[in-house]
Amino acid sequence: MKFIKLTALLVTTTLLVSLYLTGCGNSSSENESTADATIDSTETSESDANSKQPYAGVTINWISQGVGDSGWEGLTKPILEEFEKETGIHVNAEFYSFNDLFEVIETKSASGTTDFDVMSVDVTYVSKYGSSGYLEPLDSFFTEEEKKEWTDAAYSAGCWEDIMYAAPENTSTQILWYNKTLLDEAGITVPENDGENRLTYEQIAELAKQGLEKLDPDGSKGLIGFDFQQVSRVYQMNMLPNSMGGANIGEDGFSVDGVINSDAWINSVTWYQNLVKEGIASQGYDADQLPEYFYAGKMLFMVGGTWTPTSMTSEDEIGYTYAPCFEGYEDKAATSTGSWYFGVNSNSKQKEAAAEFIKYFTLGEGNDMWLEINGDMPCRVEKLEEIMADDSDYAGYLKIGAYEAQNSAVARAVTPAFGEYSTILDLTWEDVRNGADVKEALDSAVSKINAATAAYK
Amino acid sequence: MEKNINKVAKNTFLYIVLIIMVIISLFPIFFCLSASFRTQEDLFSNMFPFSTRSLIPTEFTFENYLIIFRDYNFIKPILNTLLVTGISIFFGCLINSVAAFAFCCFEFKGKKIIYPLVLISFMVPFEAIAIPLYNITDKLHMVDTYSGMIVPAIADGLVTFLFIQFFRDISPSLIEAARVDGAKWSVIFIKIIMPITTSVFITAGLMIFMNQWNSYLWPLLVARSKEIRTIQIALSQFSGERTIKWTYIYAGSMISAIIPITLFLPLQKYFVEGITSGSVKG
Amino acid sequence: MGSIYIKNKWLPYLLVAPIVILICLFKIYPIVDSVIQGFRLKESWTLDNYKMLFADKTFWDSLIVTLKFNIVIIPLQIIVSFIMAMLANVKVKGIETFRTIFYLPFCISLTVSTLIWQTMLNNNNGVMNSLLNLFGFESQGFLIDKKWAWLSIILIASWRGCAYWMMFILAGLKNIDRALYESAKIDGAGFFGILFKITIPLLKNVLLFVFVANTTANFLLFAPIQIATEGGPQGSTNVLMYEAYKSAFKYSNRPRSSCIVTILLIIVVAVCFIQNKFLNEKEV
Repeated sequence: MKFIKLTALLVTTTLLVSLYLTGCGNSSSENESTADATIDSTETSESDANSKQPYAGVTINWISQGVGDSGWEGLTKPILEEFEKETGIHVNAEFYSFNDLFEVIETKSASGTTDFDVMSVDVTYVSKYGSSGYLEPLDSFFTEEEKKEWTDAAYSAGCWEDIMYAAPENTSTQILWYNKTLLDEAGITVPENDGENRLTYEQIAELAKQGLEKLDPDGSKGLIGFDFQQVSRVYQMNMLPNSMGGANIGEDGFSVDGVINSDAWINSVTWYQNLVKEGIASQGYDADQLPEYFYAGKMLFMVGGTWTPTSMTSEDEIGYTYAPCFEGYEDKAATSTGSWYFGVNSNSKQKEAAAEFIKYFTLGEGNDMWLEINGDMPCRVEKLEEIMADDSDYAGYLKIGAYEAQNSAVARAVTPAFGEYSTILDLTWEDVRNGADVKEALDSAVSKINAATAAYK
Repeated sequence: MEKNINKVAKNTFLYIVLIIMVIISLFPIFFCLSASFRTQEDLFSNMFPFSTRSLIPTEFTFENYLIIFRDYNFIKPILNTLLVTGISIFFGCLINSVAAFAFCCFEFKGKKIIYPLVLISFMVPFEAIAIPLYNITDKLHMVDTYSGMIVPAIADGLVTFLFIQFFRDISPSLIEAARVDGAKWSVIFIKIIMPITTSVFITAGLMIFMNQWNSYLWPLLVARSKEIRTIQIALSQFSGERTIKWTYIYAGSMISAIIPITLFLPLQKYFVEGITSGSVKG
Repeated sequence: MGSIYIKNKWLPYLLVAPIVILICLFKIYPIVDSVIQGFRLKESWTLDNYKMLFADKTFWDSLIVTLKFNIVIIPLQIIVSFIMAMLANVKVKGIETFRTIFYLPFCISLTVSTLIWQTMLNNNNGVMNSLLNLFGFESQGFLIDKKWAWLSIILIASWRGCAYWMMFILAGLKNIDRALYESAKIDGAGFFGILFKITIPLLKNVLLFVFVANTTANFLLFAPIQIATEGGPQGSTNVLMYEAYKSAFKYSNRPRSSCIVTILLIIVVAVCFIQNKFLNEKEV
């Protein structure tokens, strides 16, 4: 009998402890409920308090990536404070690491939770989340004039089947970076060039080869000649076929046969494979590690984003210029682009306030503040023109970036099947890098993508 | 004399094997330790080709440890994880062991259904059930609480299975004797079974500990506020979209490894002492 | 104590109640929900998800990779951890220290141990290749070459895994009365005689646990693959579990993921059932 009592006691304690823990750890959901309560009271008693703050007391939840003081968490703090001052909306932000954000959004959205209102969306996932019903259509929240404030490319990347699902915060562009210290040591100067008259990939490869022969003839220093910051990722690698006029995906947003195994693809991928075979580009480092070798002064040339200078860990001086083009395809120069968008959770209970926040962050003062803090490429026409016109305020590479954003940027494949597309194609890039037969690899990617997207048909 | 030489040869061989295994076990850990005392530039500029410089920091720095504790407040996730694992171990050992006791000692209706359920419950990957699990945890209002991390983890079929397998080795005569003496079930469990299976309880505890300590996706999903996030999540914050703080990751991993190590050490003696002779069948 | 079954009306139910409730709520319900998802498409019941999956070459390739991977890794880990446990159980001076060191790899998380091994196995003169060169062999692409990658993943998983499985076997070894060894020795039994006549039979229950847990863990393993190879090169490490993970989280295709997981569950149950038949004649 004693034992029965003991067990009963145990079950009760388990329940009590879990209840207790639910109570005390539940800090932010309590916030939510108090927030709900304040909305009601706002309507009744505080309606006359502050007419400038129509949403006083409202709390919305925003999920995003970039943990830490030097990440978005730290950088967006002043913006969120300013926003609260102006509108009265308190933004409760949750930050995850970049790789985790997708899993978090997927789990939360698929389980239909209401526990967040605004999400940061990588541009490539807009059509997927839009078509799966995770994102609320935004057309009713933005006027036509407001939509025109962004560049056409940026606005349309936030749409799927003519419905706007997300608003662009900023974009990204590609620049050719080089390690000036090392090149000087090898006696190599990068020829003058501009957006109309670019260096070619072939030229860069030749310079990198010469540099390696001078600086590291036997490979004992482990120097890398020329590589891509986001190696084996569709985001950046597709620049190569794009630069030979190859498209990313068929017009319908699904077909890949005859697109990613076209001549432009085969030729450009073969060119890249040869670059690896000759030992100019690297093998065996993934996109998380490879740029570190440029930052540490172990790579001569790298195509990369505008955040490269601030990531440097070595003291070496770096130079920059326009992204290269392929010889014979000078008019087809292409750079990759796209970045973060903001969307509203379709299950959110505070869509108005959420849209208000998005507007502030993508068009309003918040966006100005963000561009200043983060130094990224804007999506707003006005801001891009400002960079191009101003001679003093902006670093030279931002000018190049602004030029590329308006002239050579090619949007990524717009398709709800981007997850399938990029997962399979990323691996294909990695396979050809490691020596797989190019034609076979691309054909096999086509059949894999077709099989994986069968469910959409 | 010959016998002695034989013994020396045998022992030498044994030590050689042991030392080779020590090298295999320790080398990667040593790499991690060394990387945690470097700057990121030092790490990457000396990583390849492999040489002594890849292993020994050019400039020894404590910066990484300093930064993760000062700027990233690493102590908070450690305390959170200790709380979560501590409670999980207590309840996990308790309810799984009494259930195993019931499976081993009692005949009851429904056992043939419950037992397979227990087994199947650990044969499905967590990733596969994350979405419905989040849904139910959300409905029980356990999202963003410590209990959201603890309660779903304490009933672990694998732990129950571990207890069952070890309890089955206990000699029936031991329990029969106690029953003849008129001992109650609670007394049999606490006074007879528990003392002779201490090593199993410790193994189960370590199992739960390591599961919770290294668990990643679930705390990531349920611990929304920063205040209750656990150590593995804290480690992941060093990988940003554009740059990864590799040296912080290595430093954080060393901290994350030291805590279980310090727990293993004092528990060692229970493994060695183990069991009173004669209590186990054979 | 399997032979004594006591009949008591409601005490056993009370004892199993906590785990039954929690397991049903947090494990069985989500599993059932997942299995059901595999038969749902566009709000209706269907077998199309399975048809599509079976028509997909990636699935069959992945199934073969999974089987190949597990046929090697499961026996390998069990044998190595068994040997490690035997070694850690010998009585020589300083064995406590060795034993502690053998546990250490398990204290490093799988993610971090993968990162470290990724560096060590790097084709650009990582530690392994430097060692090969030292002995006059050519460098190998351990993680980028089809013929090596899956073996490298096995190495990474086993470095940490064996330390874990050793823990259980050692706990079992400690339960064996040393007097039994002594009397066997007096009877003139050699090392292998003792091993097969005494050690293994007495470890039967523990070994069954290790077999079942190890099989489950390895069939469901994908973290090192996700970090080190992403299923490549050329699909050579693309195990079913990784395919299921990608389907759920990268493709947002839950039905496909559920189908794969259901198939995996059937395989794991079948393998464990066979192991049970081999090691154990009677049910609980």
